[in-house]
Amino acid sequence: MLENLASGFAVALSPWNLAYAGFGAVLGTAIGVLPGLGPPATIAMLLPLTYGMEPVSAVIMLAGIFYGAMYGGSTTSILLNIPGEAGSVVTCLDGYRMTRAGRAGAALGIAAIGSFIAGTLGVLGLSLISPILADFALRFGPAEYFSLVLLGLTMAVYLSGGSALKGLVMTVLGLLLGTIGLDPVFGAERFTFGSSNLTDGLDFVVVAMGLFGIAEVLSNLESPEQPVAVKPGIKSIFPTREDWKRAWAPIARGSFFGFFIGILPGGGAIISSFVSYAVEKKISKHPEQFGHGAIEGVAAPESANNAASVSSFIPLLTLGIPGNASIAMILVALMIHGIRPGPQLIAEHPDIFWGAVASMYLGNVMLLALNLPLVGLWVKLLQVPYSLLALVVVVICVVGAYSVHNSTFDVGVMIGFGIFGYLLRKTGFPAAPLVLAMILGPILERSLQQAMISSAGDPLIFVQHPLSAALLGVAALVALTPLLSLMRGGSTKPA
Amino acid sequence: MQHRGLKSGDLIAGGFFLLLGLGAIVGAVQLQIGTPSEPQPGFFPFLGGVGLVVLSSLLLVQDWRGQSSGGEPFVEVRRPLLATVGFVAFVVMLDPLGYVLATAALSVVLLLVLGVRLGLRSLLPAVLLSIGSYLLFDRMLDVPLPEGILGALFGH
Repeated sequence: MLENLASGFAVALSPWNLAYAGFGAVLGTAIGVLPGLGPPATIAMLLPLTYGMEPVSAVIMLAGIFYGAMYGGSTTSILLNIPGEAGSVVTCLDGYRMTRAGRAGAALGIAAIGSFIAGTLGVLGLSLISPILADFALRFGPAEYFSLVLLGLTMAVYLSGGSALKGLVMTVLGLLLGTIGLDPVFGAERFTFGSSNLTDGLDFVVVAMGLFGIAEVLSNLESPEQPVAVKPGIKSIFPTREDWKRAWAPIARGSFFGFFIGILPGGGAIISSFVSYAVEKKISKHPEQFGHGAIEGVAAPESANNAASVSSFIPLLTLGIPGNASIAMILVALMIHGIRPGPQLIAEHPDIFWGAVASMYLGNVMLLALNLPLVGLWVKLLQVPYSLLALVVVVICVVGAYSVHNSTFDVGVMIGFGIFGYLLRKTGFPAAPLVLAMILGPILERSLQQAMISSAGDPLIFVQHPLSAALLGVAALVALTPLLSLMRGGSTKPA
Repeated sequence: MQHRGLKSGDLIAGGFFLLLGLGAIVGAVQLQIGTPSEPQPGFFPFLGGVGLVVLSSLLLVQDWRGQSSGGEPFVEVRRPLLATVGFVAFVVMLDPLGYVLATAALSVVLLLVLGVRLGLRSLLPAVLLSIGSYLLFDRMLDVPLPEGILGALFGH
């Protein structure tokens, strides 16, 4: 493994890849700090840029944006009580209290250092677990794959919060949208309505830019701009000895929970930060301090969201199954280059896997260096008027969508999905399951057909294979819980 | 959270997805569903259509029982609506007007919607952004953008 990692560092340390990792980290921190722009929108906008890059460079840059945003998100939470990123919502509780008590520096410092420790531990876990998991998944046949994808989609719905029923509607809609275009097995045109623009199907990048970029702009238009008042005067960004004594264990536990929750599809930064906060509050000797500026309440969730952002690469790199919208776009960046992530990825493209892993070690070091001393600079970003940011987002989305096929049709599709995405937000339908299902639909369909053909049409094949049966059992358990509670007339909202 | 707008939202969304599901089933049948042992192109869309019909029916039942299942209230409808009109007009006018003019017009509309007054403070950024992005993408990065009437004028 050390040998592989060394060759990975050789890839990641090439000047261009270092530059891409640095660019991703800087951009990720910036959009993490800015509340109106998240990682999925940013990654969608940058996807067209990666077409001309080496695949490993594309992954390095996009991954940097993704985990970099977790560093930046805490800054806005701590200083302004506005979560810069969804994974930093819970950091507001104690982080902002610390700021009001004049301890902003310590909060920012522990968040950055905790993020660094958790991120690095996460990458270590990633490099240890992935090869084992991939090796195991090599034995998967179509039945196992079908059940695995089904489990992934179900968990993504159930764990991402909100109404599970609405998430399931979005999943099925995404599966259907994924069937538009030429059918992969027979080559028949499906749902193209005779339009040559749809023969290749809906372009994923175009849909994602609409659902995340344009929809975000539309929903931000609702509330007029509020000028942000930033109080400078952050004294020391280094936590005191007492802070350390209180924070080291929460950082370790946050890393642990974050890592394992992050592996689950739909788990990721949000749940892991909430879970680790709840755990710290529960086991603390002074739970009454939580919500009043307890440093544990910053250290644990900020460590957890970083560990989770790293470990959410595991299902992508070992099984080819993305667990959230941002990771799904990194999958697309690889597919554009003809690389289909799956259990063979580590063996067939070691440069991509180990290069990406090595770049994450480096990226976390860069982020620590970027975030601790330069925190004042990032805060200044908040003074950029939203109107300007919105225009830039719109222009990049328009140019990006147009560039896919040099056609106005794609711009229309993007705007259409932007408006649709805005309405979905307003009615409480999550967009992420739609995007995941759209990507995973073709895999699901192919494995379903292969399994059905091999079993001569007997659907029992999915329960006769023990592993497939186990995966389906878990999926059923996850899916049926909210439906049962619906039938009992209870709430469908998971906690 | 009980909110009048949200409940009718669930009703409309449920109805919309129900129709979409029925449409998918019809389309799938036309494509040939085949049998489980010999699935045809319509097989998978058929399952999806059935799934969508079932799930959206459940959503409608839930709404009928008066259980709202989340969503954000509309803070302001006018601004997103105006922006939406602007976006749609932009798509229609992109080819005839060309990228630069259409983008400048859209930027002005968005800035006005965002509360920037019509004048130098909205016109200047709009013009700079549209021309700047055109030069950056079309001229430097080789992303050909629609020329429109300006292209015709300058004889491209």
